Amino acid sequence: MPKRRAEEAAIDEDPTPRKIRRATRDDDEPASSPQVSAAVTPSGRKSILRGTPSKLNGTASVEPTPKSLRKVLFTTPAKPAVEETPTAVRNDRSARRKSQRILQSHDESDDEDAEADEEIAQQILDEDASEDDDEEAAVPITDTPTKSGKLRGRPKGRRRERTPSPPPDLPPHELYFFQNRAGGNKTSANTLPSHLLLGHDDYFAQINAYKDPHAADIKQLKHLHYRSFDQWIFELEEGFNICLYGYGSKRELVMEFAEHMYAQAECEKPSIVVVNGYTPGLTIRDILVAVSKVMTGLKLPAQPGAMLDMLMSKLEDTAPTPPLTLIIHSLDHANLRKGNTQAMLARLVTHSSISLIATCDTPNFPLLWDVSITRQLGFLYHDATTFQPYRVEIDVVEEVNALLGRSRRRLGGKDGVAYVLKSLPENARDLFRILVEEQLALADSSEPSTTLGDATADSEDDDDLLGASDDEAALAGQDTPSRRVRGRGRPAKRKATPSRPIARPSASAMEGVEYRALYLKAVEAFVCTSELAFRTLLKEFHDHAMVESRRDAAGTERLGVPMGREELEALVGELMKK
Amino acid sequence: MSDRQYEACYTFEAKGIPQGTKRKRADPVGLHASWKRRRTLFQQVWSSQKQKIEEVLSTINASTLQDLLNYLNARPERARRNRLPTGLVLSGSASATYGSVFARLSSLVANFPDKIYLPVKAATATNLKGFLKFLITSVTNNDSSNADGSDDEKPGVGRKGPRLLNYDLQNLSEYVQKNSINQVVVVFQDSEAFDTNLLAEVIKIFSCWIDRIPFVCLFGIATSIDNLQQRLPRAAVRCLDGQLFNTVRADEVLEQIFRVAHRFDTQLWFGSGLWNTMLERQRNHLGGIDAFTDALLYASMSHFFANSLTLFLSEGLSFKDVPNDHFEAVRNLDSFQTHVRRLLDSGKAQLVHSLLHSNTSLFDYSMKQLTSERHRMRSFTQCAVIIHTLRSRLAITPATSCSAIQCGALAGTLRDSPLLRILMTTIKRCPSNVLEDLLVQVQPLVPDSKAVDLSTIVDEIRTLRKADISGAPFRSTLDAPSMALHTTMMAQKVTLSKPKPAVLPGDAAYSDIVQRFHDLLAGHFTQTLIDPRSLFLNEVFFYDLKSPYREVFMPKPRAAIERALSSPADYLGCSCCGASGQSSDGKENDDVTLAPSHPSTTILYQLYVQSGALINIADLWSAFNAVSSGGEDMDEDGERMNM
Repeated sequence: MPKRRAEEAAIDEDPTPRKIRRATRDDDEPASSPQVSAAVTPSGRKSILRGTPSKLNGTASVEPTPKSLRKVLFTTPAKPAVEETPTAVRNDRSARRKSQRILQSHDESDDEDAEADEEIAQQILDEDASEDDDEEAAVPITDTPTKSGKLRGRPKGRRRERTPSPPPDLPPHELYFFQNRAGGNKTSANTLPSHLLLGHDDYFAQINAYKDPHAADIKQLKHLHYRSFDQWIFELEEGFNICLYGYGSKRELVMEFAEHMYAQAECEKPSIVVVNGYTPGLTIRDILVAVSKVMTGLKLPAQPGAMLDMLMSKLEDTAPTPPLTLIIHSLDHANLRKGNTQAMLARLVTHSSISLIATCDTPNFPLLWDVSITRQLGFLYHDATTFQPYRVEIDVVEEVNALLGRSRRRLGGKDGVAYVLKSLPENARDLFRILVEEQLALADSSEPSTTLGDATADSEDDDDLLGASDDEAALAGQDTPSRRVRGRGRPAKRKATPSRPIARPSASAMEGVEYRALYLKAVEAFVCTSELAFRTLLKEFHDHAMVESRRDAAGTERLGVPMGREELEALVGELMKK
Repeated sequence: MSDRQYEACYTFEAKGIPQGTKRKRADPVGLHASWKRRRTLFQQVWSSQKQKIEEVLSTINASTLQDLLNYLNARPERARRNRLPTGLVLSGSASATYGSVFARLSSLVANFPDKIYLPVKAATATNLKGFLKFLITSVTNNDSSNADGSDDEKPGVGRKGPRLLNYDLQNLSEYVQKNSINQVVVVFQDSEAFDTNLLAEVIKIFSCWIDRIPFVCLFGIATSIDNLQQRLPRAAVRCLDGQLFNTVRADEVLEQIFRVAHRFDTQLWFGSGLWNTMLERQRNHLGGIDAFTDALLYASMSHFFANSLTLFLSEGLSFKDVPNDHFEAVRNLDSFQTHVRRLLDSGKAQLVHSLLHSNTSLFDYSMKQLTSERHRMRSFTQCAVIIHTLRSRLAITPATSCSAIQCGALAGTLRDSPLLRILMTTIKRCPSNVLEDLLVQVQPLVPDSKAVDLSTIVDEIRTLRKADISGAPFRSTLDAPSMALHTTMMAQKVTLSKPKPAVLPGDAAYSDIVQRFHDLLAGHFTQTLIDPRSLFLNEVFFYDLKSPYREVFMPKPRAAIERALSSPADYLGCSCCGASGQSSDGKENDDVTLAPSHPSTTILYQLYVQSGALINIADLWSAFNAVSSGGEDMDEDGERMNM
């Protein structure tokens, strides 16, 4: 069970409170085990819900915890609406306290496990020592905006160390290992509300309303860069090319520079070709065409390679008198990142009458070029940190949604799909309905099995974990982690659950429906009669990106609708209505 | 401008021009006013420098090139054995870069109309088909662009018979026959980068066609021939008929360029710091020699651009050409101030007064001084050359490169270095034949005053030799190696005696001469090996700034971005995000690295850096919210997540 292994590994590293609880119960509390095992009935949701209070009662009765002055260790911020249950919190505390106390006076433990006990006790003590840090560290992460009042009321010293930042003065390689240490991969199970999607309207409203408090400083920074314009012109004239790097959009700066160059030119105005590297679908051909437009009377062949050859020979014959300046914004953008593209650009700019000003945004852009391309490009690099937002370069709305795993490159989620389905024939709609239903069923069916597996593998698993795996299964069933549906039933318990590592099952992404199974279902439902027809229908879905297919570990093709569970459910409802 | 930001490519049109509100060409003011003059001066200086460098470069591999060319020319008679004639050019690591032997060979081969020169790089083709296609198209394309008559050739192929596939070497064969080509030179510039299988296949195919197409292969080899041979299958190796060509090693080329760039009659000398950085980078990175010349160019560019006093370097400068503020700048120079102090110490108050108050006298004085100081700089440079020549003549180990000696001299460490001491002791004990040779070598390198002394020494040795009958070279008795003590046991007493070697009369006279030569050299060295920074107005002709070079050629983009994001105040210069981290409200943020006043991306970055490998977006969001809003509620949109 990879999950279990991961957790055990995590215990060694630096376990979260939940771990401690479990670990302690493992060895020193045989009395509580019947209770636990009672809680671990691998049945439906009901037992889980039941489990929580029973366990609470059990441990709370052992020692009524005095009201703790300390801050609650982990609170779940994702659900600001729900109020927290103090019992749960206290319970958490008391269980740990008790086990700690027992462990400290471990002379009571008389059996042969004493040695192991000692070890664990030492471990836990160590953790306790570091716990204060942890507590403070975790606070900002788990802070909920609604609880900010409480946050502010905290004594000052508490906030000193906010995050588990590495110890100071680590050498770089140690820092690397610190950042990539094993078992550090724990995240809380909090999720953002899934129904909220950033729309373009919202975004523009917000961004226009936003006033950058640093606007003046940024402007000043820009003026600093203006000072080097003359130097850049000189460098370009001496046959170098310029590459600007650093944080912030350099677009505006470069355009200002172009203006400056234009104004400074003495007699003949230089021809400047601007390439916006971030434009979707930009190819080398576009750039070559734009360059050739400047030189009149050139009929270009179709292939970019031949185009470049012709351009070069043309340049050789009649070099433009004021050299042509090529401005490429975001030279390292994914559009232009292909080796061949870069090589062709490099070849183009080697010509003495073409100079290049490029901006690069990624931190490791020099890796794009090998020795010979670097030589051909002949760059002088200048740090042009501007701190200006990448407004044009990045499609913020898309990126944010993509980062959050929201329906990206799908036509507007559920509504869009419904729209497409309307225009499709009846059997296509039926097929889609079957697919969605199957997918939902699959997600549902995978839940109990997961829980079962966990419970048998890990008999000490308490109800907490059971609930968690339940959740995970729900997560596993869908692309977008939306805990809303499932979590609604037991808000109190969720509140109490500290943020803890989730060793996610490997199939956590999207469990699609097997191709063959879907085909059989479709045939059963008289949606189609042949595989060919079935494929035709599927193709339509594929074309609209309503269906994703992937191969699982065994190599069977699986189809799935890349949407959140709620969306799927709503979709089924809509489809059934008709 | 802003409306075109979503356009892929367009031709720029300035905003200001169509309307009447033309942006005036800003005329440079202040110290920058002399830029135009300095620029022409720079161009003069650099063009002479560049010319010298190119001369060296053109001679550097001349013999190898000639060998290669002879080899190619001799081929038609020799290529009869059904084996592929192959030139293996050991070109070192710089083979893949620009300006290598191959580039120059290609220009040489271009003079022969019956030869086709085809440089191929590993990147151009990854499989055999692509390779052949590339080969054929590049041959036939060259033709269509050069000769006019070949345009109707393509349909002709169709008429003559079945149309050939574009990777059929028959195409090439026909072309070769039609244009009576004697040789197709295929050059694998970076043979190591080629896929082994592709290379083997290509070789086999070529050897099959050798009876119809006169192929000659050239391999640029950066590692060793053994390596190439091991990579290729035996069948492919058997097809080759190879000959080895050696080129000058990159180190040697670098050394030669250095000697040209740092010669005695330059206008501008670079300091040891800059030289060391440049040489080190050149040795540690593959970059080809033109990376080095670029570095040289950039160094002089920055000197002439940023230092307005370089104006004084221009020849025939008259007082009128120098703007007044430049004199102020001269008076602020460190070297001027120390110089003035020295003048005052020697009691030349009158001169100092005029220098401080009259621009004309300052101008005259500095022009005069500049000439003499530059003269000293020249003999300084020559001095290191002398040391290098002597050392290499005397074959003193370890062999030290000229650049190392020059850098040592520039850094001021040469004067008391063991390197120089060893040289001097070796000179003391060198025999007459060697010394004569040394004198001949050194004579042109020393200034005229010393040269006279040297020539008298040479004359004296010659007369001495004429008087001598034995013909054996004289030996110096100074610092003789036989310092061993002889022990003699005599009546149970040990007598230590220092045997005096039998001193011939000629030797004694010769030792005298050697001593004089030694003293002369030592005097010369102490006189000329000065610290260049102590010279008056050294700022004008001496440049030793590493940072522009490093920033421009060795960027650290990642570090720049990380710095911008981790301490934005470095760039923004704002007080709110200072290192102290004091937020505007001043409370509860004593030593916090995150403050609400930081730019939002910075906050996000910090949070990102501090978290582990997996990040929960919801937590990140709430943490970000907590930091950036300082407690106040924000709506739940990712509006600021612009990274």
